[in-house]
Amino acid sequence: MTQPLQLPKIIHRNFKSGLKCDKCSSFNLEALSSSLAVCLDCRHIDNLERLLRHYFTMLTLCNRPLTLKKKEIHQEIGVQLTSYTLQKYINLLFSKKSKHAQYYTYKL
Amino acid sequence: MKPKNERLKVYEFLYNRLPFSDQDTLEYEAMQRMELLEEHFDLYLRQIDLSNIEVHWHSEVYVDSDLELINVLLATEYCYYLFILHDFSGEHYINPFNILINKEHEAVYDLNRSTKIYEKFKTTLVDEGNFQRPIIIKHVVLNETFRLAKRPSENFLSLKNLPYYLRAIEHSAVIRKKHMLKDSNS
Repeated sequence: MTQPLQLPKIIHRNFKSGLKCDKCSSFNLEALSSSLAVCLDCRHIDNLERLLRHYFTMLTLCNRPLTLKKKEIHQEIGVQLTSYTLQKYINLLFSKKSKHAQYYTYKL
Repeated sequence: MKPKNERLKVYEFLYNRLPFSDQDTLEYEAMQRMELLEEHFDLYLRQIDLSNIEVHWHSEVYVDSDLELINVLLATEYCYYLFILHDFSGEHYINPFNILINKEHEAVYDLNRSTKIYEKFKTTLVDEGNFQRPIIIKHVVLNETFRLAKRPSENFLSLKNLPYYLRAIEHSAVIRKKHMLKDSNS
């Protein structure tokens, strides 16, 4: 009965990347700790891992290529993270072909 | 736990990331309102035992090129129950043309659509064997201030009666199974 959902195949040129607040849709997020992020507009606090998983999963479903370098991942997220925190989530959510490879791929 | 509407998930993700037209914004707001209604209904649904009931959320069908939405479809071994959710407030009445009218005498909903939805589902929900489960459509108004004046309608289910109706569905689902067990043992 219900038709399968057609997701946009091409991300529009004006697509704004980065994590956004689930409550008010603002991009003005700041890392509170290595596991929490706060929205500076509405003060809503959310789990960083959940935000990251949701963001990259939705990007994957939108057929956006997700093979990125570490610096590109940080830019894509749009939230300032410490090296430790960034590496923690890269290890958790991404994989790479070999130990010395530069490009990471999101693990769906 | 009720799963979120997939299209709403995409709209939520894309909101503020891509420019939304006025049409997109209206559709997004409508989906958010519908999500709230379905969550409200889910609160009542979770009060009953659903082990003998299949629950299908948010079924969309095309009826005469119009997209119709059935918010909840409950399937028991005995019957199909289709629920269409609304948030009408205040006093309403049904005019002789089967149109729901509010107290400002404005038409808010065409109840003749239910007949077309019924016919559509009758051709879609076909059971194997001799027994074809009946299809019952109910309009549920999840607003305490809603009142149907003049002639009542069995198509409408108020918030007050909803828990009892769902309880009756739960009991009828169990009874049918008990009869089946009895028949297979004899």
